[in-house]
Amino acid sequence: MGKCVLAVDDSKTMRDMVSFTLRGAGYTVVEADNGVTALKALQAAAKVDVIITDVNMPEMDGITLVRKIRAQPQHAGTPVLILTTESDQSKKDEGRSAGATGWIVKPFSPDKLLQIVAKVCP
Amino acid sequence: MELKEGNGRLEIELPTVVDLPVAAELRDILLDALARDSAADVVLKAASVERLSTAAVQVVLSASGGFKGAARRFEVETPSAAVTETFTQLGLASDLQKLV
Amino acid sequence: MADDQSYDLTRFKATYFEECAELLAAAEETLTRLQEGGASADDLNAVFRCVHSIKGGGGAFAFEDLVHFAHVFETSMDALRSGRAELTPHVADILVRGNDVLGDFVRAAQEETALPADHGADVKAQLASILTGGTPAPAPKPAAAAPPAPAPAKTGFATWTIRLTPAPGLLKTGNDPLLMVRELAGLGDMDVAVDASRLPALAEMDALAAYLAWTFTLVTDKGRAAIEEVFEFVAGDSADVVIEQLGDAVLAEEGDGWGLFAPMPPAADAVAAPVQAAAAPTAGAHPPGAKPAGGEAGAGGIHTSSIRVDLDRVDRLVNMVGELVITQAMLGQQASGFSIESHPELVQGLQELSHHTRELQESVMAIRAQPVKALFSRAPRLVRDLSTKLGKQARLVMSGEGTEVDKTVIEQLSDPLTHLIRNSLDHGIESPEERMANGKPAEGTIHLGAEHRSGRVIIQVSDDGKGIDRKRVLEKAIEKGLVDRGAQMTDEQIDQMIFAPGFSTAAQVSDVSGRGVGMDVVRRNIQDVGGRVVVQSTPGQGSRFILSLPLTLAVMDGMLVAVGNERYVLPLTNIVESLRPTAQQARTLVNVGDVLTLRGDYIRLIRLYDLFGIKNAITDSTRGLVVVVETEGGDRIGLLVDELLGQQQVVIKSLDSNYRPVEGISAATILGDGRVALILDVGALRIMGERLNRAQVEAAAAAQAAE
Repeated sequence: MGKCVLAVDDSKTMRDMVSFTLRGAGYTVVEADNGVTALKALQAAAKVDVIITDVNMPEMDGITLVRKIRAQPQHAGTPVLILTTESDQSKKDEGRSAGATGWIVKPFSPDKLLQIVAKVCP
Repeated sequence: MELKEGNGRLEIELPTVVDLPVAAELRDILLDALARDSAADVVLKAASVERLSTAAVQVVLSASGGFKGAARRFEVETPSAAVTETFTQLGLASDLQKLV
Repeated sequence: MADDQSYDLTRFKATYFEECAELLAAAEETLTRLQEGGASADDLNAVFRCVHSIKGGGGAFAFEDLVHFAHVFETSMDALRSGRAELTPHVADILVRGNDVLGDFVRAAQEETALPADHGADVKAQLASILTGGTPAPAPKPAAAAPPAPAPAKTGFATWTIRLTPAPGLLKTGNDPLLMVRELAGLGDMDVAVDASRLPALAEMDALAAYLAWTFTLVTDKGRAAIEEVFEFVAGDSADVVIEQLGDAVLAEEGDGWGLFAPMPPAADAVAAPVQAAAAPTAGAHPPGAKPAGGEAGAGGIHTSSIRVDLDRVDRLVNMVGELVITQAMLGQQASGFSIESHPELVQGLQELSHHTRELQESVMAIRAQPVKALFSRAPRLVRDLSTKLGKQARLVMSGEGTEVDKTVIEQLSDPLTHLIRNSLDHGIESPEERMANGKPAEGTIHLGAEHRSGRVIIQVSDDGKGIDRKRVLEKAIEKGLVDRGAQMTDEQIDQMIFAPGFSTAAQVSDVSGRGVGMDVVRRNIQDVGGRVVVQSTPGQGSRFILSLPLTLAVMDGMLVAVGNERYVLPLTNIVESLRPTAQQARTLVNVGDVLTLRGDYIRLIRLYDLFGIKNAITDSTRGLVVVVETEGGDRIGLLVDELLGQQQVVIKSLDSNYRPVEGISAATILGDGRVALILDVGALRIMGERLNRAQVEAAAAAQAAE
């Protein structure tokens, strides 16, 4: 069964780039545009293997999303990657203490994205 | 996943994916099996496992110590390739051998 | 997977620019609110996110100037939202300018044009100064692009010892040592030794905590960086990682050890002794490198609440549905000879088809509908900027922003609406002194509202200013030869004169309303999208411009009329009534021409056959039918036709894009029988009729003089 990635970003451009790259590598991609819709998508999905989320989003930001995901027992170990910028060391730390698995630094190359997803994908 | 009595043994059939939440469930079931006032063997049926998390490996290792201490037999039956590979990669190939 | 070079970014650019446009508009709207002093933390966050998203995408496409500017902007927004800088009216103004400049950069990137190197440098400096509380400061260093990945040190093979001691919480971050072991093994030849000494008894165990620790011996030609990268996400907080090269021991990752904040799991009790002494390296640990994930498609499908569709696709759909409506009408006509008794299923089926077609059409039209909010969002800034410029005080009140209307209508209305608001501020609202002298509050009010009313959208722009100066309008109209001196005109008719071509009320062309664009252009623009505009005015109390617009441009309810062998469609919204006049009602007045007397009023009669040169038409008005129609200006005229063929919904086909503009015709349509019928433009017919009449009257007068 192909691995399924939930891509969460309020920027359609970013979602497109993540989706296109991952789909090209055989992943199934589900998209959501903020934390609230992401939680809904997570609930509706048969299975999600990896979650990639932006940090700054309306409705619910990425850090809160990570906490909410970790609060669900079935997602205690689901890898969650946060999309952040090079300068955002504080976001990496914040993400990590919220329970994020790792991070992807924007802007990223398709290869880097695939490498990191493969790194954490169980 | 549940504890079943059959052939005079307590059997647990592992699902295809034994990730973190399943490892927690497995720990509770094994604890239940360990607590039973019984001398019955406990068997983990592992033929269909495709993914085994490190958390699950820890549970199996800890349980094996527990059953050994209680002088009961604990066995991993027909481990799938994924199970063997995981134990080997984590440096626990010999530990698995003792359980098969 | 493709490498970087062949990875085609252009496919995402269209989405990016589309998104930028939305983000810039959203930021502008919010910034306007900030300027008005209604700042909330949410607003600051919203603007921060807009700028952040624009920067993020820009970075992916390597729009460097854009990213540099956005970064400065973002940094300032970040300081504001976190309270490190204060939002003053001055700062709000800077932010608005910042948004404008950011828009310049986006446009330049989109059009692939180069801006001057110092473009927006002043605004950038001002944005940066927000951080220092107003003292201009050098712009912060722009965000660097991702540094090139350090090249693996090609120092030949080396032997490394790596000790991995996870913190208990490691597994709960979604990391699994198994994946790290696999990744590490992919770097070279590896032996694994596990340390299970920390593993507690089952009863004491938290299944989600990490207890095992490992020591790896790795022979690889990849350097330290490659090994460090394996533990990138866990080293420090989630695990203690020690990397040592043989003979050259260096502590690689020395963060706060997990032991500082997480107590060691309690020691095993006496009942169980689960300690697995397994310090000896186990043989045969050479797994293959991590397998790339993926392969077959799978997993459940999820539906997000909205999707983005190219407008072309929607238009194609609208067109196809239009064709379907025509086909359905044609089938209905063909089958009109069948009775429900003789062909019950056919007739019933056609009725259902008609019903479903109509529903389908409405659904498709709804796709194109958008709230007028997008149109209104520019108004607050316009009012503020203009009132400052004109030395007037005005506030804007908006209502009905959620009212939906066709996207094209929204796009086309932008200019006319801007002009109407300008007009209200320039000519309507008086100076504060004048207002107070007249007992009005110094601050004038402009109301911009939208609502749905009987299948159309009504947009109103009203003000509580001085109203239209009818005396001056009339003088001007006479001066310009638009009306004859001594002509009897009602107040309403005078008011509508401001829409006449070439009419401009401003004594001097002002900087604001001027620019050579008059109200006639406003009306033309509104008519282009099938709308009408009228003005109501009360001297001393204000004016109200009422725009009536169709919900959609693609379909219209029309009345099919016959003139000779030709068929025309009259928009149903224009029709007042139709009648067969008596000989007393239809008269020809000297110096005026054909008129119809209707309940004491004279209505100009226009003979369509005359206007369009149609033969075999009924020329005697008492034998044909007169359709009384009303133009957007409120004028009534009578159109002489042979007969009414029935009311029907028609799909509008533009003549401009399919043929060329024709006077008196607004568009064309295809009838159920496949014939083309032209849709009449009532306003234009009135003007054509008057011209024709004048020519005929003059010809008659000339003939009389010659006798």
